[in-house]
Amino acid sequence: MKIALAGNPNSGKTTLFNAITGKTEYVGNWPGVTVEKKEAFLKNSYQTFNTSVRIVDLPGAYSIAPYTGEEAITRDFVTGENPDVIINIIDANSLERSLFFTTQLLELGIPVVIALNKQDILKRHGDAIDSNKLASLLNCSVVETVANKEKGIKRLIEVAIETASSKSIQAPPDLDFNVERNEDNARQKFTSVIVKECHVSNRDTNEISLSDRLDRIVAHKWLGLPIFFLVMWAVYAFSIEGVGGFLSEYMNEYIFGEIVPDAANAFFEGIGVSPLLQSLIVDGAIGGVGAVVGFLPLIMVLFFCLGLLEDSGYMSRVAVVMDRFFKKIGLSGKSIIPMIVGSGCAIPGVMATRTIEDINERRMTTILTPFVPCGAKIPIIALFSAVFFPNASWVGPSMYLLAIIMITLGGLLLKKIFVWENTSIFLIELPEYKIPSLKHATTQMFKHAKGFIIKATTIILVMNTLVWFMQAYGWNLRPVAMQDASILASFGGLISPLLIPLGFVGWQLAAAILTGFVAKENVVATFAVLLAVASEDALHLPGGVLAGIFNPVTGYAFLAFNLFTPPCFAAIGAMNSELGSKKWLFRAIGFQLGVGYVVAMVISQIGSIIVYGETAIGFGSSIFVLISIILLVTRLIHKSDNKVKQILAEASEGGI
Amino acid sequence: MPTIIVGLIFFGIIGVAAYKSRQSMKNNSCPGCSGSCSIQEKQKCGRSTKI
Amino acid sequence: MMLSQAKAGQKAIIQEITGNDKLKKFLFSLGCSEGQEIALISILAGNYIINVKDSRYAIDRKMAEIIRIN
Repeated sequence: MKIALAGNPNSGKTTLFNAITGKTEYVGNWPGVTVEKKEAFLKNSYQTFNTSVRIVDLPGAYSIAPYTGEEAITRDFVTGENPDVIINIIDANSLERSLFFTTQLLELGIPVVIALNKQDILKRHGDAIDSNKLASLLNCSVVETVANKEKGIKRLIEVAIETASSKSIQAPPDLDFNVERNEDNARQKFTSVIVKECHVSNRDTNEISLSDRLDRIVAHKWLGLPIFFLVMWAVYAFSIEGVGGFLSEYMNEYIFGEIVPDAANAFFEGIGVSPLLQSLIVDGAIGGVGAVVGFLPLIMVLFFCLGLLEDSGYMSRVAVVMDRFFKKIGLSGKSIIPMIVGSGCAIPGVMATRTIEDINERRMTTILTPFVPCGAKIPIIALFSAVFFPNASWVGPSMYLLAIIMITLGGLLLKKIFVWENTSIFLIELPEYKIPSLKHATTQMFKHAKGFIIKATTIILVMNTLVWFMQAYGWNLRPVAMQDASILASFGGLISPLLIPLGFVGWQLAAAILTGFVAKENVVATFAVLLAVASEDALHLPGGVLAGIFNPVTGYAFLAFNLFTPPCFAAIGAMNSELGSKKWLFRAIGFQLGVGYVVAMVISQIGSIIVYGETAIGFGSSIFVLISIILLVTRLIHKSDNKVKQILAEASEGGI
Repeated sequence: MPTIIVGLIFFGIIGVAAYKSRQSMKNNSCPGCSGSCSIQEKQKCGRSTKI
Repeated sequence: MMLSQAKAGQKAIIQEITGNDKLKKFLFSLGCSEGQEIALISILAGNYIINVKDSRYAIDRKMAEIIRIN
C-alpha cells in the first residue's frame, strides 16, 4: 500500500513523514526544504494492519499546475504513480489557501484524507475549524493533528489505511461551473464558501502581530544584515571556539590522543601482531579517523544551534534581507535557501537550487553554494583555529563572513563573465515565528552526528588506510625510510609547485588538498597520518606539528583555499546533475578553483607583508600568476561584452 | 598468526567501508549523508530540473 | 494604483494582476487574485510584506508592481 503526503509548502509534511516513519529527514520552518520525494516504510508502532505501508513525502506545492520544478515532482508523482490514498496536510491557519490545492487533489479520483495540522497554533489564535462539516462538504475524512507533537497521528494513519482499503473512488468537489466559466475561479468560489461555513475566527490577520513587529527589526533595511552576521557569528563562535571547541579539545587530546591509541598499541603488542600492521591500524586508521571523530562534539553543538535557528522561522527573513543585495549580483532572495541548506552539506544545498525558476540564477547559485562552509569543512577550520589562533574566537565566524564576501564578489564576477538579466521574481512565505523545539534541534544534532560517524568509518577510514600505505611505501612497494621517498610524496610533488605562489611549501599540503577532494574531513585526517611520524603530540595542540609547515598567515590562507576550491567529489556530482551540462560543470569547477586559488594567494602574500613585514615564499611567482589571471578575466569580460553588443545590434537591426 | 587474523579483520572492515563509499559516491552522496537522490529517483530528479 | 505605491498598513481589494499567465496562475494559487482582499503589512528591506488569505508573504518590488489595487 502506498500513502502519499501532499500539501502546501511549510504545512508540516516532512514533520509528519518523520513522525510516522521514524526517519530524520531535513525539516525547516521555512518553505522549500523538501525538493524531491522521499520514501520510507511506516514505523511499526503505527502499523495497525497486516499490509506493508510505504509513505512518500512530496515537495510542497500550492497548486497541481506546476510553477516551480518541485511542484512538478508532486504533480508527476500524484498523477503517475497512483498512490492508494493521499494524505493532504493542511496548515489549519491558512485554510482557504490550502483548500485550493485540495480541490485539485480531490479531482484525481484517488481517495484523499485531510490532516488538519497545526491545531495548537490555531487554538492559540482563538480560532476554530469545524472538521466534521469540512469533511462532509469535501466528501472526505478530516483528522485534526499536531504533527510536531505527534498528536492525532495514530488516528490519521488508521483513517488513511481504512480509506485506502475500501478502494473507493474519491468524489470530485462540487464546483459550480454554471456561474463561473473559469475553472480556477470556480475553485476559489468553492473554497471561500467552505471557509465561511467551517472556519470560526475572531481575529483580523491583517493586524500587526508580534511576528510582524519582530520582522520590522530583523528584516530592517539597515539592521537586517548586521543582525544576521551577529547571529551567525554567535553560532559559529559558540560551536567552534566555545562549548563545541572545548569538548572537542578534550576528545582530541585524551580520548583519541592517548587513551585509544595507547590501548590499541598495548593490545596489538600483547597478542604479537607484526609492527607494520600495528602501525597501519594505529597510526593510519585510528590516528586519521580519530583526528576527525575528535571534532564530533563540535559538529553536534553546531547542528544543534542551526536546528534551533531553522525551527524558529528566522531563515525566511534572512532571504528577505538578502534579496536586495543578491539582486545586485543577479541573484535573488531565493538563492539564500540553498546556501543555508549548504551550511550543513553542499549536496542538499546544491539540490535545493531547484526551487529557483530562472535558469541563470539557478546556475549561479549552484556554483556559489559550495562556498558556504559545510559540516565537513568545520573540522579543518577548528583544527587550524586551535593550532594557530588559540584563544581567538574570530576564526570560525570570519570564515563564514569571508564566504559571504566571496559569494557576493563571485556573483558579481560571474555576472560580468556570463552576462544575463535577472528576470526572476521573488516571493517567499513568512511563517510565524515560534519558540524553537529542543526536540527538533536534538534530532538534527544526532542525525548529523550519526552521519559524521558513518562518514568517518567509511570514506575517511578507507582514504586514511590508503594514505598510510602511500606515505609508508615507495614505488618499488617496499617500506621507505623517509616519507619524502614515498608514493604519496611523488604525487604531492607533482602538484606542490603550483602551490608555491600561495606560500604553501611541501608535498604534504598538496597531498592533503588532494584527499580533501574525496571528503573535506580528509584534510585533517591526512595531516594526522603524515605528521604522526614527525611527532607523537596530538595534531591540534597550539603551535603543534602543523606549525612546522604553516605560519598563522599561510595557515589561514590554507583554510580559505579549502573553503573556496571545488567541494568534494560527491558535491561535484550533485553540481553536475543540477547544472545539467558538462560545459557548465567545467565552468563551475574552473571558477571555483580560480577563486580558491586567488583568495588563498592574496591572504598569504598580502597577509605576510602586513603581519610580518616581509613577503612570503613565492611572492614573485604570485605576481606573475595574479597578472595572468587578471588578464584572463578581463578578456572573458571583454568577450562577453562584445557578445552582448552584437546581440543588441542584431536586435535593433531586426526590430526596426 | 595473530597478524594474519588481525589483518584479515582489518582489511575486511576496509573492504566493507570501501564498498559502502563507492555505492554512495555513485549516488552523488557521502556515506551517512541523506542529501541526495536515490538511484531509482535519479531519472526523475533529472527530468524535473529541466522545467 | 499598484501595490508598490501603497503605504504600510493599507488594506485594499485586488483589481487586477497584470503579469504573464504563468505568474498570474501562481499568484492565483496563493489566493492572490482579482476581488481578493490584500493588506500591506510593512515594507522591509525593499520587500513588500503582504497578507493574503491569512498568510504572510514577502514579495519584491517587481511583483508588487504587477498587482493593481483600488
